[in-house]
Amino acid sequence: MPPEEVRAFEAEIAADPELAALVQQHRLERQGLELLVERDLLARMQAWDRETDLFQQAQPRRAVLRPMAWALRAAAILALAAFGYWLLQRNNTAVVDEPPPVVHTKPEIKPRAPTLRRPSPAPPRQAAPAEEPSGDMAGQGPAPAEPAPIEEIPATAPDYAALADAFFQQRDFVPLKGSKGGASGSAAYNQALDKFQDGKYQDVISKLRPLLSLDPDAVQQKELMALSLYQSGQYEEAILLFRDVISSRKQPYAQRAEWALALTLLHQMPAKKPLFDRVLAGMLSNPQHPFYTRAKQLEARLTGH
Amino acid sequence: MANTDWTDEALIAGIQIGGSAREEALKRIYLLPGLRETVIRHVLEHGGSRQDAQDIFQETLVLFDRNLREGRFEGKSALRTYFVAIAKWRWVTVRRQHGRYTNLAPAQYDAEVDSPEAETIRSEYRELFQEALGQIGERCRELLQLYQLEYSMEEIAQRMQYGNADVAKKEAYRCRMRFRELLENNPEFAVLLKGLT
Repeated sequence: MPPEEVRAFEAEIAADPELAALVQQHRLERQGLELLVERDLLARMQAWDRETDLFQQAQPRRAVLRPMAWALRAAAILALAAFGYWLLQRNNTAVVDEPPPVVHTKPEIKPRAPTLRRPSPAPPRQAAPAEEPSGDMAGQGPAPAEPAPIEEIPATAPDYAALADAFFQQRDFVPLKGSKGGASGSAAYNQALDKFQDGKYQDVISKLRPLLSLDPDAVQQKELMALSLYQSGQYEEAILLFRDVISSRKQPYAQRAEWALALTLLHQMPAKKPLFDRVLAGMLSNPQHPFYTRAKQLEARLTGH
Repeated sequence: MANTDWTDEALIAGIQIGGSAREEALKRIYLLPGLRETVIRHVLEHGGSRQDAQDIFQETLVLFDRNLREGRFEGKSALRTYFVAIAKWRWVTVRRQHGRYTNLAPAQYDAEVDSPEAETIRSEYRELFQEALGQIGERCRELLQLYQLEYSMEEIAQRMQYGNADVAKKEAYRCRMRFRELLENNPEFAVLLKGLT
């Protein structure tokens, strides 16, 4: 509005108390509606903070790895130097009649987490003839008195994400599209549910986020939001919401959220192992839990029993 | 707020355009390196806690967004300076509300922001607004939020899945009337309104 018009309108308001009251009321209404914008923005800020937290959580790991990289480089240089020294020594010993005595120590296996072993251990190595060129240290002296320890190979970690996806059944949480007893919430929830059933998870998130900022206690909506975050791979935020639903203690949402939380944490293994173990143990301690059998099955898959 | 992609002008335009442009601009400002630290340092140096500082930073973004949308920023300073000025002013208001008044020379805050007194009046209505907004229903809240952000009726119709802009307009009117009615029926609101006029 041009300044002249503003001045003219202000003069008109000042001269007409009825108009002044109307304008004041309109201004106040707009202020009230501004509260909606404010809540939405605050919710967005929390989401941005969570994004940043995740980013910052990744930073220290890099900071730890950087000095480790230097240590690894130094170790590699030392190993090369040692190898060079050994080569020199080897050339020298070729002309000496008697090799220097080799001290044998009992092989020691450092304690480790149980790992897979090769099905048939390799036969003990034979002492190579002295003149036979070999890169193996065993070639420089008599065969060791004891068989070489069985070589351990690193365990292949289970594919946690695939396991979580295999156990995640949409029908455990929401009715399947077109099934009886389907949508049973508000109009907004039902619309979001439709989108969820169609696999439009980002649409569900966009739809529910402002609603949740207005009514943070809406457990049904929170559950659907968390499930959508899970389905779209936003596990950190999904974990926060599932935990909220659990702490609401409203059933059946809270127990469903326990199971969903376990599967979400499974996606983040091994980083989230302590929390995952606690959640699973909690479910396994209650045979009445609706997901007790599933939790048992999951435990069996993880332990291989 | 110098940025290779986001100049002050681009940020202002983004906020005033609304929708995803506004969200992106606000996110840029919120995560702007050094801005949060400046606000936190100010609050900590003026008797606040770290939590106070975090709250002030978030409240500042809310006020900053509103002032820009309402065209109250006159471009007399850089956006970063303006943001920090709002934060300083906001911290003075909070301290006043808690009876911990600090002197703040007028030169320290920008004349474009609200006075602390105006903010105090505004805060008196908050509870009344909250109550009324709690009763208008989810769909109306969603619609009125878009209306407040000055989305066009076509955009509202599209987002809210109404048949067309006319339906959206009627719904917006119905929701506004419902909100108004709830406010008017609240005796406390009538008292406050009478006091102002």
